[in-house]
Amino acid sequence: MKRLIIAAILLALVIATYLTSLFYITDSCNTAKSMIQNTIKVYSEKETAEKEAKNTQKYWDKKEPLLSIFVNHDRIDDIETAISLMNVYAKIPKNELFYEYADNVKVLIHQILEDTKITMHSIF
Amino acid sequence: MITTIIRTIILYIFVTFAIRVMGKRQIGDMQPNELVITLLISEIVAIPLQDISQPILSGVVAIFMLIVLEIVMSCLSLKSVKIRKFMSGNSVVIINNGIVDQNAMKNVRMTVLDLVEQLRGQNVFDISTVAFAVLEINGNLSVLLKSGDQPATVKDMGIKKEKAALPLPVISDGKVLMDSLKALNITTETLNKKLHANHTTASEVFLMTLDRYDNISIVKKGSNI
Repeated sequence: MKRLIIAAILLALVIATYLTSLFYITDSCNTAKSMIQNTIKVYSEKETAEKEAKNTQKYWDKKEPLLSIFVNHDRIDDIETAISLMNVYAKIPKNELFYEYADNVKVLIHQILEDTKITMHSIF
Repeated sequence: MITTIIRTIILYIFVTFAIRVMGKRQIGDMQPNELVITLLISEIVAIPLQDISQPILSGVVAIFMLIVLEIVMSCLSLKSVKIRKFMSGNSVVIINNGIVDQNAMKNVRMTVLDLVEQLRGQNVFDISTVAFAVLEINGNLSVLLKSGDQPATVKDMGIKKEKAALPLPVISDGKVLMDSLKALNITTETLNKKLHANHTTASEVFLMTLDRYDNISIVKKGSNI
């Protein structure tokens, strides 16, 4: 009986961890994605998007520590690097590299979101 | 470096907890599913230990799930014979009524040399003295000798013997073990009286055992047992 209670507690912990990670990752990544989308929009309209890019970086820096608990650290570092580079090119008007790095960030974030989904690909 | 040290400490705590919950068993005594889980836990822990980019939580969650599975399966095994058979398999009679079952040996892929070696491990050097030999699920061979070859017991010889009692350690390295005193239902004063009667004190004793029939054994510090 004691062991069954331990098993029930552990199972509850696992489920709680899974749900927390799922909601946190989904929320953080979706917000970051929409911020990048907004940065791209502002850049194409005003030719620079320094403020928006900075906000995106600030947001990611804030979310990074807790995300590191759930997501592979290399992936988070890759996004961090791509956002930093996007930030640099956001100051330069009409630069193709800005779009390249912004798309790169979007792809990397999308990959993290994909990993949270239960698919045949993720299981096998 | 400090990250690795901290991660090692955390994982050590979780693995110790996992093994503790699963129960005390030696590798040789494990059921197949217990062995699988032990091997898996060691493999799972190795990944976040070696690769610090891997979140430690992935290892911890996997360990927790393995513990849950192990507990649930062991509980189901207790309730259902079918599940027990599926999880652990069956014991196989290798020698039945003095006759070696060669088909059973083939089924469990056991050679004659393996059988003889296992019998020697049970202090049986003559196969003709064996009535029954059963290969247990954990791989051990249980042997029952023919009645004429079994060693004589006290009962066979008609000798009356005092009832056996479990001697408990009451002093270990000068320290009084209160749990043992409680189990024997004696107080510290009674223990001190017994020590006084043996011309010693608790601090001078390396090991003292006592049973419920008052049989005392004392090994003093610095003396050879």
